Amino acid sequence: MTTTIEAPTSTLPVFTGPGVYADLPAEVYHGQFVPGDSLSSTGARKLLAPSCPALFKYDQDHGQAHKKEFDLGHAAHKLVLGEGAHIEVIDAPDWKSKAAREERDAAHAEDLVPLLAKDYTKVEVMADAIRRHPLAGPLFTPGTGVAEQSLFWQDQRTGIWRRARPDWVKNGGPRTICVDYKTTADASLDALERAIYTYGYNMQGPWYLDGLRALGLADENAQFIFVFQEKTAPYLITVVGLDPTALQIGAAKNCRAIDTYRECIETGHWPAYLDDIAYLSLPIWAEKNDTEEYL
Amino acid sequence: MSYPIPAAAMPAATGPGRVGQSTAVEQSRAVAEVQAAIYIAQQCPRSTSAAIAAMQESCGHMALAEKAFFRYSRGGSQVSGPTIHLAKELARVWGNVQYGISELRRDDEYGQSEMQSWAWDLQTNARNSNTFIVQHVRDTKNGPKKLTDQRDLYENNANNGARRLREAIFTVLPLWFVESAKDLCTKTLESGGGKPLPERIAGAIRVFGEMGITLDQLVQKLGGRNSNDWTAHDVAQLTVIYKSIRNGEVSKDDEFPQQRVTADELTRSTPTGTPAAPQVGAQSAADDPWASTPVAPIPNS
Repeated sequence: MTTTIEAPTSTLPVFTGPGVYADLPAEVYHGQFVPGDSLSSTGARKLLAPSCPALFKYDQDHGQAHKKEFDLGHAAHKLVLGEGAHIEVIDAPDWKSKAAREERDAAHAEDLVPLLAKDYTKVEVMADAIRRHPLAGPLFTPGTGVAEQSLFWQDQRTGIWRRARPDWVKNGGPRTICVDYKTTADASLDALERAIYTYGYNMQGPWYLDGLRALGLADENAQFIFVFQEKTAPYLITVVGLDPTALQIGAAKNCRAIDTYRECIETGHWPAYLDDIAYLSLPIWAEKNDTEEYL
Repeated sequence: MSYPIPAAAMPAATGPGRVGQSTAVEQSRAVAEVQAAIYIAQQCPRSTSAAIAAMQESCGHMALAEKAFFRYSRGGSQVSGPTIHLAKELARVWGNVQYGISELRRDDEYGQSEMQSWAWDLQTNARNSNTFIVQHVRDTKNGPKKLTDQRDLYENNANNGARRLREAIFTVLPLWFVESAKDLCTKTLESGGGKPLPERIAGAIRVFGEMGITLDQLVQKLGGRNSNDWTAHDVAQLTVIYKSIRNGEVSKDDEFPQQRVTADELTRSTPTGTPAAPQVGAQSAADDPWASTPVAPIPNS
């Protein structure tokens, strides 16, 4: 048995140039809404090491594979922000049965977020934890910000089209605050520091603020913060801002990614990790160990 | 053994077909001027004690001390050092020192200028010269920007040249002379030209305020110390920072990062006038957690 939480909308907007597109379905935003395509912050991170342009191109051509973790994250966004892909609750204990898997695939095909009933209940509790949090609760109060606007603008330096979809933009106070909500396995400070580096999250703030500023939605004083929430009980929440150096490095990485993207488009060549022969050494610790043991 | 360089790989620089009369006169004059300068330097050697006295007098003036240090941002930290203004003043008082910058060649096609900076102690014959290439680009937050405007090119070349010239002058001057001058300038900044410290602190807060920098940001910059606890050294640091921002060597954001987001900012409820909830289609209560009653926690699955 399945329960559709909300029926998808049917009218699709048409790209008319740089601007803010409210109510743009996620699948349209992630697709080729801009003729000739546009670059997102996620795409920019995919272009740089440890990824490479070839992986970016593959995802662009084939779309990202559905993952259970993504579905949970999308559902959490939907319940916390009130925006995002629509949830389809599948009344099955797990994905082991053929019927459940078929329903899941059918939901994916219709751009819905399939969620087992127990996971839906879990996401509800996560959203409730956000509401009760002393910072995140008031921050995400409906009416104090705008959720999931799609921004499209042209990069001033290179002319390429860029896009962003900030989870939440709070602009009633003295300065605009752009917020990204992320679900994570570990919201401790040490783990988040590593995650910010590993996944290039410090590129996201400068990217989104570029978009808001380019479209006149924010000035130079605008700030960017993350709200991280653990995916396991008790669903702890950490609100995080980044220091100026991390943001400066993020902005520089964005520039590099934009240049790489432009070069790949111009040449039609999307390089893998390396075009030449790689000569590798052992990791430092292994070399030291084995040198002492065998040499 | 020598390796011939193919003519195509290194074309000869093109020069004028003939040398005009005034150019010929200028060439002869330049040679005579250099010979005369060396001769006079040998005949009239500097008095080190007189040079020290002149340096002490110069560095005791706020006009020089305020221009004696620069600051700029690199890789998230601030780099500081003595300026070209101090270098030129020290060359003047040391005496028998010549220096200059020349643009040897400008190549608009490749967007670069070949330049030379040099400083020469005519008395000891200690000479330093650097030939370097200045790219016609300006680094911005969004990457390098190509310069084509003549004024931009002039300023870019002058800025790059001044930095090399500064190093060239400091290379031919004795290290102890330069270090003494820096110490004296710092002391002059700290004494603030005799103005009482509270007055200088109030002045610093006022001028930074005019720049849009709050007292809180100044306190944060000086390690969280209240303005009543600032020392003469702190005010001297602020003076250098203020001058560097004014001169464009460092940006306001580099020196004074934006104030951090506070808990109060996040929790302050100011309606934006734009509803955040989805507008399309009917919503069930389960779809809007803000409208529902709190959900009881469930065990982690």
